[in-house]
Amino acid sequence: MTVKTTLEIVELRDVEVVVRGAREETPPILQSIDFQVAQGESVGIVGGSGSGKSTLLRLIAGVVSEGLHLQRGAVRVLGKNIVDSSAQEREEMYGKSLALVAQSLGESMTPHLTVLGHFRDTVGKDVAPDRVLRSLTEVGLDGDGYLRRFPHQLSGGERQRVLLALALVRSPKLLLLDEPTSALDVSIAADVLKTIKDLQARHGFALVCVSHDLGVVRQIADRLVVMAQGQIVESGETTKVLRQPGNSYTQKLVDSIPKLESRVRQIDKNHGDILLESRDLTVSRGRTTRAVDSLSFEIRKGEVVGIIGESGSGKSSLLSAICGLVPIDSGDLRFGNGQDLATTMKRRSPDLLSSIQMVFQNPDDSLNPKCSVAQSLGRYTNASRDDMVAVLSAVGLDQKFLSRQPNEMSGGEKQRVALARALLASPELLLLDEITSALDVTVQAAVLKTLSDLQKDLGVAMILVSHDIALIASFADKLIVLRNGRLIEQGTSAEIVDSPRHEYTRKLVAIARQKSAA
Amino acid sequence: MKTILTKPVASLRSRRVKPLVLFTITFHGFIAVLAPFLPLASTDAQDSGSLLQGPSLEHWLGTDSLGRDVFSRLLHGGRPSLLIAVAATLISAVAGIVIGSLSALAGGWLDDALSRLLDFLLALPTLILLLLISSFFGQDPFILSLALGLMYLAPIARVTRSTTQTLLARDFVRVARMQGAGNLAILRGEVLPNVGWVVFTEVTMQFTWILLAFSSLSFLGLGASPPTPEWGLMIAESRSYMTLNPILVISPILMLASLVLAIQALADHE
Repeated sequence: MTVKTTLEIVELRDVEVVVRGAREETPPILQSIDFQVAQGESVGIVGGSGSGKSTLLRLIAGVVSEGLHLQRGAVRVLGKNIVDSSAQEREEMYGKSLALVAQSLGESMTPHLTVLGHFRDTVGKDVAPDRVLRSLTEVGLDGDGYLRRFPHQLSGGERQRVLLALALVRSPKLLLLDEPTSALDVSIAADVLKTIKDLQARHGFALVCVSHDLGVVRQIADRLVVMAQGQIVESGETTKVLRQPGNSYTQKLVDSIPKLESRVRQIDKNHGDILLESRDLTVSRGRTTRAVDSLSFEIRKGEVVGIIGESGSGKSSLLSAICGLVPIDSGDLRFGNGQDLATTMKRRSPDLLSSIQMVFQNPDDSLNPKCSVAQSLGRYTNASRDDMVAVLSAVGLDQKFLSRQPNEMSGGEKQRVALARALLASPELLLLDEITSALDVTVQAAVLKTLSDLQKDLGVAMILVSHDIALIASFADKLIVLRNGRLIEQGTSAEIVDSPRHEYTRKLVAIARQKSAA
Repeated sequence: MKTILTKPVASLRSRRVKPLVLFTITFHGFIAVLAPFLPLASTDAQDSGSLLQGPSLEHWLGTDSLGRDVFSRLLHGGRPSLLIAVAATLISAVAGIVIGSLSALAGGWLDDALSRLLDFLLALPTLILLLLISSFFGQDPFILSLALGLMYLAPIARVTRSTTQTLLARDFVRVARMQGAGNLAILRGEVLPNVGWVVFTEVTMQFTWILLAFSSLSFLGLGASPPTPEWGLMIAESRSYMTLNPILVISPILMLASLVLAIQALADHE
């Protein structure tokens, strides 16, 4: 530990949080939690969904989430019992000594207030513009132009920086961050994390950062706390924990960070004929914006192509055009033996429709909430029960799942069902849109493994889209880098990773290396 | 459409509905069905010896200006409006759901045309139009149900349309299209099972408005015709005797209000 002082900023002793009115056999949400944060220390809390990490963070902010109950133990922040303190006392603490930056950028700012208005709301009506400018400069937003802007006039990264400035303007002793970068693009997230780290070094506040992403937490935390099923399974200096995980879950977590050099799937160089060919493809969004701008590439039978792109890169528009959800503006898009994909879904033949299948990002949205797995799989494919069982086992689920409803499955399981449903249509081309980004890293690794086995057995061509270059490079044969609707680089995975030509690709590769370096 | 039936039942079972609401609805349902079979005084028999009497052992809630038993008329008085309201609500629910989902699925000019039709229906002065229809075609329950059903379908259609539009943009519907599902299959398999609860709530609300509209019509003399026992009509008939025997006016008002409030509380629930 870097700074060991006598004053503990946060102190939790033997804390247990349970679901209010739950039966006795239900496991507690948090169980025997002992947790301290010293002055000036930065602690990262990592864990999958349902590990209790967010509940813990809220508890430190003095909030017991609705439906939960603090059964045992004490939560002391700056020497005060924050959970039992009155609303007024807590309000006072929020102002002076404690600041929280919540996860959802969009909902954390008031749409009708300017940036200056937000500062007036937080600090007081008479806040000097100079002081606001100073704190904005500190978080990397220069110029008084920002004062008069409304939230919708700020980008995601700028919004996160404003929220950070708002949190820090009253010099708190403790800053709580809930998934500070999950809503940001990779390249922007890296910059924001660096800013946070610099600010902490300068002001010496204590920091608690919660994230599902080990790669994020390791960049700003001196100490790492790993949580699983409501318990702290490991705690220690960040570098030490990462180098020698003392717990099997931590080991799994460390292993499942995609690494640029290692591969999930063997590269396959023997591909068949051209399956999809795009020449100067342009797709518009609205009247003026070109979501996809003169894109040319080809995909061969059985080839796995990774598309890397952040928000606004046009990757989703490209996939939508390929499967016919949106019309194309100009250019040529051909499939198989010269079938024209310039038509939207309604005009395509049933054969063409079923030969291109897509799996979406959000597993909660991919399955009809009112249908069992058997209904979801069989409704339009007319698959027999045997077919369904076979395809389920191919994606790693047994036949018990046939009768499950979506709300009885985890995100990873739902995504596997979505994959199984796509496979039942016997596609020649599978479009996978960020299919692992909503999943925990350990689940993500397992899904990728399944996908790799499937590809080997079926020889289906895939387009895998992701913002995570490490993940894609470890899986695809060929990479395409998209930015602002244009193709800026393409080549084999090794070419892109080892010798990126474009500046932007170089930055992405550098960030990925930093994240996965031991 | 399974959920339309199971969800209210499930929510009743989970005891989140207030017991008072539950009791009121059960009570009204019970008397509406069983009133003719209960050992009550005749609703039409005029006891000329006792007009406008207060409560007694013989007449529990007293008698009206013609000497008829108020208690018996009160228990029978919900039946005509409930019958018409059920028929009209069925018409408006079916037509509203069809128009709403069709509008959302088709899009384009058909959506525009249907939406303007709904705007038109919403702009109609309901009660005045009902008075016209009723005086033109007479107090035929079939025509009244049809008119009420058509006039109250717009909110149901609108709610169905917007819920359907939201659903159509969801990934599982896109996947269904990719697997070759046509509009009808999407409507049946993906949309209708998921619009259930929202639309059910709206339909239930419309049911109460239709109930009130018919009672208002009766109050104005163009709904149920005398000597039918009907709450709205009973209020109208006893208005002049309000000071002599307030129970005559208060009791049907209480019956109507409690029924409407309880159903709305049930619909609003969740």
